[in-house]
Order: sequence, then C-alpha cells, then structure tokens
Amino acid sequence: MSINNFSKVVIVAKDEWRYWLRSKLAMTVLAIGLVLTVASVIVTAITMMELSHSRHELQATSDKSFVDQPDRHPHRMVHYGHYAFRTPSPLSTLDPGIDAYTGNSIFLEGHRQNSAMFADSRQGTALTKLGSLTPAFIVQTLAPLLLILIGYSGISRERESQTLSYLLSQGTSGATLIAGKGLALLSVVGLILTPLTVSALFTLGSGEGLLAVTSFVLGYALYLIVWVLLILLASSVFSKNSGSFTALAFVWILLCIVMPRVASTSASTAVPSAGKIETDFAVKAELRKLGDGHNTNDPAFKQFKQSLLNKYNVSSIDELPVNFRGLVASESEAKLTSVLNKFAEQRMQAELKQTKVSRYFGWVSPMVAIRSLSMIVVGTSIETHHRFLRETEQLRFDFVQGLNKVHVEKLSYQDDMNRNTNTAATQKARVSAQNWQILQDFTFNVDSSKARAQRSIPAFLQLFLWIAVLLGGIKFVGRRLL
Amino acid sequence: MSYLLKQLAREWRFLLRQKYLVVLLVCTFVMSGFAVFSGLSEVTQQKQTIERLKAADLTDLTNVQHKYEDPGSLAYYSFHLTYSSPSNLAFAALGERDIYPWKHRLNLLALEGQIYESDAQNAELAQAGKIDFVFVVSALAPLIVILLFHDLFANERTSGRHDLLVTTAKSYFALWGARITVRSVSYTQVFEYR
Repeated sequence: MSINNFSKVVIVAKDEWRYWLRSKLAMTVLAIGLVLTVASVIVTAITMMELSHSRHELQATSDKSFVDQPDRHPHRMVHYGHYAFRTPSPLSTLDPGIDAYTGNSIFLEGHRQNSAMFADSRQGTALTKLGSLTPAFIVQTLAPLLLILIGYSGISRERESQTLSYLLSQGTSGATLIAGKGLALLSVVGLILTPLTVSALFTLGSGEGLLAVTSFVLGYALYLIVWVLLILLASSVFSKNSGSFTALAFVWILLCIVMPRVASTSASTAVPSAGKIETDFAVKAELRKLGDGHNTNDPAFKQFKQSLLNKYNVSSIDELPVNFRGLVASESEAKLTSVLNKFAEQRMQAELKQTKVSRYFGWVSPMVAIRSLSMIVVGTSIETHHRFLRETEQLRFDFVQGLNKVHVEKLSYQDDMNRNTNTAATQKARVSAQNWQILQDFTFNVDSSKARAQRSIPAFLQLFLWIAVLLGGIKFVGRRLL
Repeated sequence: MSYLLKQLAREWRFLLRQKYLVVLLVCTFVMSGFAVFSGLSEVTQQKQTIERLKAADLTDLTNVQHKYEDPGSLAYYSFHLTYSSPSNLAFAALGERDIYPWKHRLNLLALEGQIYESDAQNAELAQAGKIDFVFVVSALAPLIVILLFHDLFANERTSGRHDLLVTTAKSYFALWGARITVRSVSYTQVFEYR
C-alpha cells in the first residue's frame, strides 16, 4: 500500500470517528463498554486478591495446627489429616476460569483420596448463569456486542444513503474504504484492551511470566480482530443496515452464547465419564485384594512378614529392631496409593478427553477458542486443577509416609501392641510432638508460563484460521462492493 | 375468511422471501431442537447411571453382609446410596445438577468426614454452562423476538414504502396485523415442543 493509499485509509477512519462522536448511540455504547471493563478489572482483581490472601492464610493456619498437635500415637496424626488450598495464579485476576467451579481446598488423610471441596459456585445463586462480571466475560462476550453496535452500519450505511457510489466513483477503492472502517474499529479494540493490558502488565510484578502475559493480551487482540472482520464482512455484504444488524446480532448469539454451551453439552454426551462414586466401586474391588493396613494379621501381609524376618535374620516379629505395625502401615499405604493413583489418573484423562472435545469447537466459534486460550494461559483451566490434585496427592503421600516412618523408628513394637492395656501404656505408645515437623510447607504454583503458552497453541491456530478465512471473504466482497 | 387468508398468505410469502429471516428461524429451530434432544439424552444418561449405581451398590452391600457378622462392622463397612432422580420434565430444565452432586454414598462412620467427598462433573464444562430448553426460552427467545420485530415498521420506512403501504392497505390490521401474526406464529412454531 502506498503512502497515499494509507493516508486515504486514515481519512476514512477519521471520518468514521467523526460519525461516532456525533451519534449518541456509538458514544453511549463506547462509554458503557469502557466503564464495564474498568469496573470488572477492579472488582475481579480485589476479589481474587482477597481469595488468594485468605487461602494463603488458611494454609498457614492449617500447617500451624498440624505442627502444634500434642504428643500422640503417629497413626492418630495420619487420621488427623491436613488441608491443602489452591492459591490462584496472578493472572487469574483477569480470568478466574474454573476457580469457582472446582473445589479449592482438599482434606488430606491416610488411606483415602478426598475430592477437592467447597467450590464457590455452590455457595452462590443461579443468577450468574450467563456469566459473572469478570474482565474475561466482558471482553469475550460483551465487547463483540459493543463492536457490533458501533460498527454494524459501517459500510451498509453508505450504501443505504447512497453515498457509497459517490465514494467509489471518486477514486476510493472498496479495499481502502473497508480498511478505513476497519482501522476505526481497531482503534476501539485498542481502547477496550487498554485496561486489560495495563492490569495484565501489573501481574508481572507478582511473578507472572512475560510470555504468559504477552500471549494473554495477544489472544484477546486476535479475538477482537476476528469480530472486527466479521462486522466488516457483514456490513459489506448486506444491502441494508437492518439486515447487517440482524445478521451480526444473530451471529453473536450463535457464537458467543450458544456455541460454548453446545460445545460442553456435546462433549459430555460424546465422552460420557463415569462419576467418582461409580469408579469407586472398581477402586474398592481392587483395594480388597490388598488387605487392611491396620490389621497386621491380614493374610495379605504374610509374604511381606516373611521377607522382613529373612532380611533381619530373626525368627519372630517381636525380635525385629523396627516396629512391624508401622512397616505394615507404610507398605499398605504405598500399595493403596498406587491403586488410587491409577484410578485418579484414569479419571483425569477422561476429563481431559472431554475437555479436548469441547475445545475442538474453537474451529467453529472464536469464542470457544478464546475461552480455552484465556483459561489455559492464565492457569485456571482443567489442567491446572489436575496439577493441583497431583501435587496435593504427593503432599498427602509424603506426610503419611513420614508419619509411618516415625511409627517404624520411634515407637517400639512392644509399646505399640500394649497401647490399649491401661492409661500408662497408652501414654507410653506416643511419640513427641517434635516429629510433626515432617510436614512440608505447601504453596500451589501453576505451570510455568512457557508450558501454558505451549498448551494454548491450538487455540491460537483456531483464531488465526478465523482471521485468514474472514480476510479472504472480505477481499472477495471488497471487489464487488456496489 | 378468504380475505383474511389472502392477507396471511401474502405475508407468509413476504417472510419466506427475506432470506436472513428464514436462516434465523431455521437456526433457532435447530437450536431448540438440540436443546431438547441433549436434555433428553442427559436425563437418560442420569437414569442409566442411577440404575448402574443401584446394582453395584446392592452387590457391594451383599458382599459386606457376607463378610461381617457383628453389628458394629456391618454398620462400619456398609454404604447407603442416596440419589435424586431427574423428574419427568427435567429434560427441559436440567438445573444445576452439573454443579451440585445428585448422588452420594453414605456410611455411618464419620458422617462429618463425608463433606470431603463429592461426585462433581467436569468443572471446565460446568463453567461453560449447559444448553437446555429453559435456557433457550429464557435467554435466547427474547433476543430472537427483538431480531424479528425490531424493524417491523422502520424497515418499510427506510425503504420508502411505508406511506404507500399504509395508504393502499385496506385496513391497519390487513397489513400490520397479518405481518405481526405471521412473525409471531413462525416464532412460536420454532419453539414448539416436539
């Protein structure tokens, strides 16, 4: 494009702005859009910071109350348990994603894997069904509508008032006209994205990676560009304003409101996943083969007992230098955990498969693409939740086995066996509270920003495809504007 | 009577000739069809799940009863299945069953501890929401009404036909009444429960 051509584009864009400044509708819409974006950025930032703060605090309280427990039998502490909290990532102030839909705390105890509990969505009302006022919702759902309201008549207006033929006959090419209107709409996109970008840059200060922030802002820019192109296309194709508006509004309904729901409904129908209760039956059947870790006489531990006797070269378990009950507890916990992990992994894979199916709809709707892109990059997608589940399981296993080790080494088998004879014996079958220090500090961190950016590549491709197809369409229409 | 029919037939032809309106109506029809269909299949899935759970629960309970004799162990190891089965109209309003669990297994041990158990569905899908008939009627239908009726008069005015139409029409209702009726009927047909 020569300089001359470009200045023409700028003139058209300026003129479009002049039209908007004169019309009350465009200015009102723009004002509402900006106020909503800024308000949601502030409100969501405060909410997520409070959440993050309170979860950090709860984690510290939980750590403290575990360590502060008095002298006890180590296995009592295995059942006393511990809590882990999922602290949100810095960028989640812009897109809380599934944070409200999954449990954000988990109770860790011996012999079982609990579900993450206390999801915020269960404590709210159904009023937020259309989405809550987060920056992600505003930019994903409302911003396209605002762009439509401002831009639907861009070219159809010229056609309807018969100024289009003048413009074209005076040497402005169709491409220049469309590019000018597009430039004007892009400047609106820039306005909408400014609060988002500024607050995304702020998260760099709280440890967010530059790559994640860049892909986040870039993703939203691409998404809104898709809408700008859609608006330009519809406005060029339709001969009347009302046709252009109806078509765009309907496309908005389809792509922004209907498609995400169709995607999730189709995914859960196409890949039905068995719920936890149902898989628990299979888990239980497999666990039954392992034997009860509380019962040293369980036939399942016969071989283990024999191998121990051989190892220490003694004839009975009383002569072992270590506590046999602790060893059985430790051994059975390890086996049980491997079974539980196998099923947990299966369930997570099934969930991931479901989610992938719903993400394929990004090829059909840019809204689905940006939704998954945003959640993945921010670290509030299902993958992050799975990471949380895996990390807390490791934490659970470590502290239980740590306590079992204390059980093996610090408590004699004789004391342990006599623990129920009288009060003095019970007192003797305890270990010092010093041992509770085995608990590691737990802070949940999301995947590295590189890993998240890599995971979002398919969604980026979906947006690029949309842009390419729409550019092709506009080029085709631009030659036959009249 | 034939006069009335003639007016209506003319308006029907007028409606069908506006391609974007036809596309709009067809798409809406497909959407509400999808909502009802997916609602029905979801409810069927839930009912099947309950049947499977009931069978598995019974087997588990029988196992426990054969394995243990004393009342304490029986109480400790027996689980009791509770569930809320979908009602007959649940296909139209799936509600929040993807957020709140509708099935649970209780046992007498540590009732309090069972708050740490939950059979929830895929959170990322729950966040996107579900499309059921209630959603189509409450959220989409008003938007479709707006799209169908927003330019009822204005469209004719901008095309410069409004005054001509009004002066040549036999009565107000012969023109606008017929047009409104046709649009309303086409609209309700689309949402008609099959």
